[in-house]
Amino acid sequence: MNDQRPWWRPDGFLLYAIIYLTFIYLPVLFLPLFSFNSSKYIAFPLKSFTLKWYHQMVNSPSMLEALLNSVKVGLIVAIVSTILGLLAAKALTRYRLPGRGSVISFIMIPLVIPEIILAISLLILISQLDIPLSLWTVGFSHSLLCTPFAMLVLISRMEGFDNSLEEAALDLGENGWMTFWRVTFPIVLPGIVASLLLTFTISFDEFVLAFFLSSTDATLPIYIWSSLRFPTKIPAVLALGSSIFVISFFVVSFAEWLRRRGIKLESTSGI
Amino acid sequence: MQKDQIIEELATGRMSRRQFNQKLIALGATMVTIPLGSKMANAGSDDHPTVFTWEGWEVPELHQPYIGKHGQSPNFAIFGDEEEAFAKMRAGFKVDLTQPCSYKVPIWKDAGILQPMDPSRLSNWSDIIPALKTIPGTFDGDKQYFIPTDWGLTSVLYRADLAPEYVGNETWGMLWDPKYKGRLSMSDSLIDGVMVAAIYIGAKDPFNMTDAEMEKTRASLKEQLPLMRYYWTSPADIEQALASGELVAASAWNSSYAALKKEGLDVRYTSPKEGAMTWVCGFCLMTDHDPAKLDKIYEYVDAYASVESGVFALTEYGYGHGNMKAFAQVEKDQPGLLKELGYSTNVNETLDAGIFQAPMGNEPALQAMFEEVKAGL
Amino acid sequence: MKTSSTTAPHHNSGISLARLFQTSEAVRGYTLLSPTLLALLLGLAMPLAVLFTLSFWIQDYLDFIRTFSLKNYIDFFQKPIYGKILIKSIRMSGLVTLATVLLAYPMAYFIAFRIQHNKLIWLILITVPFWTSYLLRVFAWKLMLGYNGVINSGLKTLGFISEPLEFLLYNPAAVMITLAHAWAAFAILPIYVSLEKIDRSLLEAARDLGENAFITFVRVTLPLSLPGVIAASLLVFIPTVGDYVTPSLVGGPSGIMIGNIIQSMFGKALNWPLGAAISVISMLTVALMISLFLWGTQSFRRKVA
Repeated sequence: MNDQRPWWRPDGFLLYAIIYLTFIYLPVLFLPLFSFNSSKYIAFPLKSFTLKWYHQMVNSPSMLEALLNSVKVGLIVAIVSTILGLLAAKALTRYRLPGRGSVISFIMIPLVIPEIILAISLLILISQLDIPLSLWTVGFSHSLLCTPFAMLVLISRMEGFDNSLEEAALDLGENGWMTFWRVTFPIVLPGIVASLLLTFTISFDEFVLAFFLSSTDATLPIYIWSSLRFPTKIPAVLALGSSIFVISFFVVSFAEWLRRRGIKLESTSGI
Repeated sequence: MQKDQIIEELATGRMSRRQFNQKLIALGATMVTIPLGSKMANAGSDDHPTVFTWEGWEVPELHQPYIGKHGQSPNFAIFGDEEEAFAKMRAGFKVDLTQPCSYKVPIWKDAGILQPMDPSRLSNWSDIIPALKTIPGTFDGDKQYFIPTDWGLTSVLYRADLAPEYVGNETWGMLWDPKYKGRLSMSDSLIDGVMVAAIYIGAKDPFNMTDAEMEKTRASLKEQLPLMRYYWTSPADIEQALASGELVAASAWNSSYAALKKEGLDVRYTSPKEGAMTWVCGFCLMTDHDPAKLDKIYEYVDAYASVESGVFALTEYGYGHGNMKAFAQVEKDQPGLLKELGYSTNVNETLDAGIFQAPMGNEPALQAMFEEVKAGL
Repeated sequence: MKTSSTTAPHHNSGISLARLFQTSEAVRGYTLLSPTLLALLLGLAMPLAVLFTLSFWIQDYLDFIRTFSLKNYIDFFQKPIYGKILIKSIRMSGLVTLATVLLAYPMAYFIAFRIQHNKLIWLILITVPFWTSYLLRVFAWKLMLGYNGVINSGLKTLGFISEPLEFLLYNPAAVMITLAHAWAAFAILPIYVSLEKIDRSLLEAARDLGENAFITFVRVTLPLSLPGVIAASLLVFIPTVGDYVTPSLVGGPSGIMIGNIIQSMFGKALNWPLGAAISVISMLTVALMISLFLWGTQSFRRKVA
């Protein structure tokens, strides 16, 4: 069987994967490089080595607070929208629903509607209801935006899902929740992971909704976009972006290294 | 994953589920340790005003006296673009104080979101440059809607090493010079972009053009389009590109000149023969402000209008300041710096040489015209 | 209720309700859907109402003339600028989607079939670059494509050119390259997810029947992964049609997209109703494109099956 081939054995796919990863990583790798460059401007030629931007980064509390805000909102949004997407995907793939097409189209609307309109109308609604703006209102709007992403990813996972598995579990006396937990969840897990990653990424980088629906707590994109007016702040942003990139990269690699070193649990589904 | 594999797992192994559980618990722990709590519930501290302003204008150095008195800054909400800020406030965002530029004041006033201020409550009011207090549209008889605090120029910034022939012969026409095709940039805005074209074609009153002048402006913008590398939306766009030599000349603000000069580049900030443009920004009190915070609001504005804030704005950002004593102070501390930044030591001389930005008549028509030109129509 | 019954796995009381739940698929389905639908209704009802109502009003300086009018729609079709830019945006996004999905498929296939252990690591590796700010990534692309950028410097050093190429940046192509990069993860993940669920014994069976690898792929793998390809296409196509950030940063005057026009209507041009009408038209156009696309993929699936 072709999938028994060890991953390191060179073949066309591995070569392609390397080229593809280069395409994804190459531009991003310039960020750490320029974060050590003493010029304020991200432009060639490089000047000299410096750590001052990292120093500046550590000493700008408003930027770090914005980062923390974005991480908080991103985590909440990833979980909420994945749950909402999971419920919708489950209902849409498990049952024959009248009006299935309209339901899917409706859930897709946040993707189609221009963000500026969504942002302004939500702000009108929220201020009519006298709800103060906060990171919660940002989180709510991001969850709306991210739910269609979650749903589409999960539908593609669950379409063709074998319902007889669930029925078998039900027959074995499991209740609905346990069935979901023991049967459905493991099968859908790759979809859930993909959905969490995607929705976190969207929320973490979203600017328009965050700008309109936040009060005095800025998220990272708000901080970064408004700092374009005084580009002197950009190198510190660059240092931050590089740190996020390098730290997440090493955390992931470290986890992989630990896994390889540690007791090799028998592999389950790979995830 | 195969069917019987799952059933087998169900029957025997709990390995994967235990892993999921562990992951879930870890995630839960993370969520608990970073509570969304206190800061979200009440945005900032409740007894200080909220100021809606540009990023970079909220730094503590620009309101030290306020911090000295209260031990902290007011709350800030940040915008990067006045139009978006206006849309946000009209949709219901409530703040106490905001900081637009003068040409926006009449429109914001007409929208009913601004309220007159009482300059007599400001100790620094008498030191504010008189010419800035009477900009048309920012006051209404004896009602002062606008406390001017920051000002600067819109003019041509160019690399003298790449375009030496313009040294001593400075004109807006640089931005129309076919010799530098693809290496020029102008602001993607009406006030700093289209108005430049209006000045260049010699419109009598660029801010209230006749139909004939408008057509001339359109023609000159069309002529300029193929020469543009791009229209810039933020100083970051032009500073990066001027630094790398991608651009030779661009319309720009003083801050870009100051920043590039500090990097050691051979740039010049022109005084074009047609006249540079002068912009002024300042504070406006919102109709929705919290009356209980009025004292602190005035204290903040007063702190911003102080000499020490002015010195910071001039030396760090290269921007002019409303307080004229700040100029004298800078000249005393760092002789020659003002001239280098494009200001005359006599502030009024600088202001007289420039063209004050005023509210534009028929803005929607101008915008539509600009969009059409950019789209190549 | 006693748990002795083996045929009624639900432990709820209220027999008639339980029976209704069991018998009506629609009721059960909509119950499961209800949290999502409620959340979206709460968040979307107002924006949709605002959008449609606004599009039939007229801007009058700062106010709206609140009587029904088709003026904005007529304006859209009378002035060539809007239609032209909308068509251009759809063409650009279509190309971006095609490129992104085609390039992502082999990568997703690689992770799903070639990687044995800890695919999670690979998924995260693909996502990590996108946790740096979008703005920074755009700067990075300017570095690659720019005047003194990597490509120009490389070509110059190799002696292919003497003057930097200016056409690499600030045009529709630069917008498309940047978008294709930015949305890569959004294409890989759904495709991977749908490939991952394919039953390996099916592929084996096809092999045993003597099909070669390519035929197996076209007859088995591709149709089964089609839901992922569809999801990926939608997730890339829809948001990129309305994007305005990328065009304004790397597009130059010729790279403007419909999102920029809508954005300016709500900001600089201060004409919310016209902005709403342009949005309605572009949303309907996008919906039409999607329907055509889904119809196409459906018939492909039927043909193969």
